[in-house]
Amino acid sequence: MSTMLDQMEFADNPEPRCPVVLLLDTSGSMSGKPLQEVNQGLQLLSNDLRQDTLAALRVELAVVTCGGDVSAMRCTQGRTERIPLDAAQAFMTADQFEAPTLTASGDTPLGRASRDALQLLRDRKAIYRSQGVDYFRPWLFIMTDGQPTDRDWETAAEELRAEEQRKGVLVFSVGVEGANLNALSKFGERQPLALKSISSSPGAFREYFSWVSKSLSAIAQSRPGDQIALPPVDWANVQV
Amino acid sequence: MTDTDREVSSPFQSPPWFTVAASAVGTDHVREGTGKQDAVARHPVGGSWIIAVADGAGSAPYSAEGAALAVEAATHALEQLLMTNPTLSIDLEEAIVEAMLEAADRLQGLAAERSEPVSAFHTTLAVCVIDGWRVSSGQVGDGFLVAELDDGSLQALAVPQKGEYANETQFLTTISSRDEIETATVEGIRGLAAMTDGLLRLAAQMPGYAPHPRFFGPLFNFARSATSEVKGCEELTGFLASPRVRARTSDDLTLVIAVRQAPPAEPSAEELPI
Repeated sequence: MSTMLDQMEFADNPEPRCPVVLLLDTSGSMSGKPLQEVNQGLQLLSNDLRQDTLAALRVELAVVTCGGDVSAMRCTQGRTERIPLDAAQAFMTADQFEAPTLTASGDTPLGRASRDALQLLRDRKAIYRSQGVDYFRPWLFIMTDGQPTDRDWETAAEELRAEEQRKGVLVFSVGVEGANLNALSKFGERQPLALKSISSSPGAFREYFSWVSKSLSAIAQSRPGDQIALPPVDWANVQV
Repeated sequence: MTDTDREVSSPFQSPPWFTVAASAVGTDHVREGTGKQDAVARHPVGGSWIIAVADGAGSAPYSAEGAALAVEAATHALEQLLMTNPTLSIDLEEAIVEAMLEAADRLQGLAAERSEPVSAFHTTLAVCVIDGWRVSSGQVGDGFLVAELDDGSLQALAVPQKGEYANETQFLTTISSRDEIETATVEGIRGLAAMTDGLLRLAAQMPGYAPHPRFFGPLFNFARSATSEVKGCEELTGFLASPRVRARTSDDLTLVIAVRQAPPAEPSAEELPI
């Protein structure tokens, strides 16, 4: 090949990022089997995303727990710690992300958690913009088994829905057995899906987290004009 | 170039331009079996050149056809115009916009004929006309057009029209008014590069899409020193297929380079000095 073309050097640009918040209900009712399944699911998600070289660099995960209070979990380099809800610290690229082991306690202030998660995503976008990093539409995955317990959860749900209407975020909600799906349906535009019960369908959590991972891989490699084909949902009672 | 061409040359004629181009299917598209969705054209008309690049949307089933038709229709419309009118009498930006609108109409027509939504043919389109020492351009989408000025500096003529998100852009098939076609003219140029977005992250510095000098400098020098058009295109194709490019992008890649300088002519008996 021409030596002149060999002399070409390439611009060194940061990868575009896809910010993702996993909003997980860690209230008392999730203790035992459900939370064990969530913890295994997070492990699976972390492993799967690392296998995908593009997703590993482009997907940035934050874990927000909602059990008694709302906090973010920083889980990287062998350490898991609760940290303040700060967009500069809460996100880890998928290749840095290590699955935390969550414990359950308290009630379910889902309204506050939803508001905090949305703020994290907005702040993260602002950081990308200030650093000249391209980004994909943020994703918020909500998983809960109950009923929001804070007073003004409906206002928070409406704020999230409005943000989704403005294309500011994509919300996917999943109700674990016992969840109030009607309440959950107010968070975002899409109908929540009911995860198959653990007793009848032991692999359901695993399948759900595998679906999350495949969906994020699809986004991470999307180019302008791509309509993202999400993988089929086989972990829920209702087909979408 | 034939002897007849040479006879009509005069000191007032536009300077000669030399162009090379390459277009290659992306590794993603090979894996997905979708084939190449980029299209490219470069046509000389008199002393001018019409250059067009288009990138069919990944999600649209007939976007390769859309891109091919967009490029064909726009360059054809411009050829008709330039063949019958001296370029100095034409507002080139206006002519490019008209040609692109014509291409958009043809896409609507194709969609109607096939009873498909026009979104099935989604494509971007960037068009330039190089005329003498100036270039004019029009763009819808995320193509990247870069002019090299006489002093060697680089100037972006068209940068990607992006939405908020990395995987969003505009399409020729969705424009609702001529104002959505971004036009530009740059005078005093000696080089022009046109590309689809596959090479963007290698060729532009984010944010702001500043042309990366170490990308374009050697690229223009390569075109200037190419010994023939065929060889130049072959080498450029080889570059697009090279491992170091493929390691950085899995998208379709299309690149056209024009430089204001005739390539050294093949030596032949008639051309030897007497």
